[in-house]
Amino acid sequence: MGALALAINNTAWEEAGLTDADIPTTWDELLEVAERLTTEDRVGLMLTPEFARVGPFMLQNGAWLVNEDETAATANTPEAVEALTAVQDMLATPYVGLTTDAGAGWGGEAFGRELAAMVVEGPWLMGAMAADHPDLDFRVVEMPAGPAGPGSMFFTNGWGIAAASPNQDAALDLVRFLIEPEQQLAFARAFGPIPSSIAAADEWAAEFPELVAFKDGVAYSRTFPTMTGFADVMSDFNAQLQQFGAINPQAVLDSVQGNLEAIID
Amino acid sequence: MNGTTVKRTRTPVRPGRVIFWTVAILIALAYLYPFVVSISGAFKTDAQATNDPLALIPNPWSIAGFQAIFSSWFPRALLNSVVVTVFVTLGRVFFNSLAGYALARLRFPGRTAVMAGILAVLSVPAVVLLIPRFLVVTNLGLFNTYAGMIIPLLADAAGIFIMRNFFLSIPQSVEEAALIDGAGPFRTFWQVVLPMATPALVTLTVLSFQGSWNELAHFIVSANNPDLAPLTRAVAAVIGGGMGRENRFPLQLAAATLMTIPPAVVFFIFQRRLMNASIGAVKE
Amino acid sequence: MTNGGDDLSTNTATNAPPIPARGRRPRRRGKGITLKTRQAVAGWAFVAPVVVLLGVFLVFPIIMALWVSVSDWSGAGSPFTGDFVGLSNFTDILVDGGLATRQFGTSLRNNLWYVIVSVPIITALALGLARIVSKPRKGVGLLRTAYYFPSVTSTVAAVIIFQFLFNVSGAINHMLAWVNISGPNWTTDPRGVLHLALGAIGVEQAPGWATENAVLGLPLWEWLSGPSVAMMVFIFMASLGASGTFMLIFLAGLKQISPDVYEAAAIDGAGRWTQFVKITLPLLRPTMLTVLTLSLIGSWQVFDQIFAAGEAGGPANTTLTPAFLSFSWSFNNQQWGRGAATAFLLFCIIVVFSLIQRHVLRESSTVPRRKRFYK
Repeated sequence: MGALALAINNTAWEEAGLTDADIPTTWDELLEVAERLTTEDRVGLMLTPEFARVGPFMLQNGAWLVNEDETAATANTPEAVEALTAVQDMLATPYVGLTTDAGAGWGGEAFGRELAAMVVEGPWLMGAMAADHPDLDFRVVEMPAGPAGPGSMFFTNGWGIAAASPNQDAALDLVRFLIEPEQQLAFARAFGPIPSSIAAADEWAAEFPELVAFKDGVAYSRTFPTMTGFADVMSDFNAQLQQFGAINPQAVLDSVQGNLEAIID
Repeated sequence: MNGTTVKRTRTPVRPGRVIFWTVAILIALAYLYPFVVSISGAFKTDAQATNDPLALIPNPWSIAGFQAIFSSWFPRALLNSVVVTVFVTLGRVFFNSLAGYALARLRFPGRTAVMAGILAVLSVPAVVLLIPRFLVVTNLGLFNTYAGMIIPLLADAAGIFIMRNFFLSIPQSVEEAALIDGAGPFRTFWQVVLPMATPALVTLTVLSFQGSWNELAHFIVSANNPDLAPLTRAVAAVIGGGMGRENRFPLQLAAATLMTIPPAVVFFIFQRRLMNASIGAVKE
Repeated sequence: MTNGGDDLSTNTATNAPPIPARGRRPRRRGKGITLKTRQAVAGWAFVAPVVVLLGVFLVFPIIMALWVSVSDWSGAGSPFTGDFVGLSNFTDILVDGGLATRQFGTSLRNNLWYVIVSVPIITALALGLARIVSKPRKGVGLLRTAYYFPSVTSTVAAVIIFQFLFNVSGAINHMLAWVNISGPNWTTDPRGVLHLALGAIGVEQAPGWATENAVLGLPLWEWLSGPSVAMMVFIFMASLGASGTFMLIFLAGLKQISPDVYEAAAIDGAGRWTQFVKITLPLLRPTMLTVLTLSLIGSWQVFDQIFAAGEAGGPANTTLTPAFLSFSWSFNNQQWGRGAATAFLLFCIIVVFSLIQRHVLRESSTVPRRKRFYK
């Protein structure tokens, strides 16, 4: 499991004359850095038009789709609208772009093909870069914070046991074994997933310092709301976001609010 | 078609004729262009495919796309396609000719009802059948099996009509002769009538081959095991970007080109038949 | 490419006479099996496999799906374990006004525009191509092969090729650049073609009545969007693939028109265009009916290419079709009741459109006075 973080193309960074001190920690700094990194063939920052990339900005402004215990929908609070508007404003500048406009399938592709100097992605980025663009020199840092503090989104995988399985006890034992810190570290060494067990955290951080940003972000992250039917709400939200330049943030979030209210009962 | 021959006089080339041929050939080129591009793109490098898509000759040549698919899922998918197509085609030919003959020549109670039933079933749009087919396949325990992929496709109402129409056109004297010789209905069918039905059988074979090779929707609902996926399903899985997958055009184009070769070959060999069959299959 | 799996053969069941026994009645004694019985047994034996197949894999499943559409089965176990929920699946989709309604409305709008744009294009192309190859000239066979070739390829291969051609830096945009047109990012552009056209003539804002009123959860202004740019790629794909098949049908129809009719008209002074409009088209009416019916039925079932494209109806749900929605609700969301209900609604839509189209193209028994070109 890991949280979204900011991936930076080191070569582009140095070419633009930026140093470690310039790593952005606020929205304004993010925009400045994006401006410095933008060249003719390359945008400073690229995002995918979907909730999973807008969410961190919402959280950074103190807003979220639902409240803490998922009993009420909070999608169209003023803070949420501000956050969405802020992202829209960023996209309106020539320094921040959408992957869809560049013909890239996702942030990693845009990053690897150097269509963007920075992207917001999760730990899966590492495997993709190693496979498709092994020569790219990059680093991963935590996302900048917003007006209300840091925020990101975390994602994880899970083990599933079939409800109709005749071997449920055995399956349960297996899963218990697989999530032990030892085993999670073994997975991490073999092909990358970040352990979810806190006990494994320090040992893992020592072995994989370049991925630490993904782990540290989890502390201030939230993930997809878990109500049944959320997948549809999210896909509708994402569909509306695909015309990012033209949308009315208030209207979009109002519709999301309405959809969420329908599934929270 | 013209019985008379006209002495060729040296008439000037009419502009109408030039325009006609120019337009006709341009359209033909436009229709073939996508496939030419596909073949040439399959042999390009990733970079050239993205940056220089118009170039018809790859430079440099690269078979990386082909290597990538052959070293992973392609051979298995090819096998699956072949297995399914062979069994579906054989099954359809056999069952449809049996039923077509019975509906054309054998008198049995309820024949009209069966005809009406087949006609009714013919009119249900395929999309309505997606979910129902899945329900049946799953409930018969055939999900993720070759049987589940093959058997439902054997139900082919249109093919029954093709065979029936053909059998109706065979003169009855042949069967009467067989009857005098003491042959029962099955022997009459198998040894006398069927051999005469070669044209229709070939047509049915070709149509069934094409239909099952290019089928996609049924394979989506009848199996989700990647080892069973035929070419259509397997190739569809490499399309598009998305989390962790890039647009690898040469790879995709290689897959697309290869999977089109069998139907293309069958088409070139049996063109005339195919085209006549398409016309004949839809009579007003 | 339209789903060409449906066949509209309307042969009526002719009762072929049974094989006559030569001159004498089959003897009943001794054998106990008459010719008639043998035929009946054989008949049933011959059709049994097909009847079983059609019954088990077509008729019975449809009944099951009908049940599922009025239940809330969620995919586990037998479909008959769901609870009866009456018409609530249908009302969720049609009346409720929530997300499901809006998704259904969107899919309906997308498919409607697909039909409106692609059917005329395909029909006109098919007719034109048929005319080109109907003249017995040298080389026509080659042309026919070229025109028909796209129809033998699978939807998946076509999607790959067209996504490559219409990529933002692909062949089509390169060619448009020759004439100084900056091509859009075809496959990710969700803007409606009609909206773009209206924008080009200055209608930028949606008029009030169009944004206030909504049908199926979708504002009227959105209904008037036309197919999206991304949907146009699918329309081009279908035009290439389906025109070949329909060209053959028109070819058959054209061949049935005797050249004498044209000669007579030419003698009367009718030019080529007049001949086409006043002779060819009316005589092609039955063929036109066939082509339009097949084309309508096929284009309302667009599914394969949407699935293959991997965007799940994107961008912005503008390539979502009712067929895909039915699939997606069932297989992805495990909302089988809704999926089945959508499939049956689609069936009704197809039937209605076919009936409308047949009515419009019906043969009138008398030619109205103003249409006669004889005095």
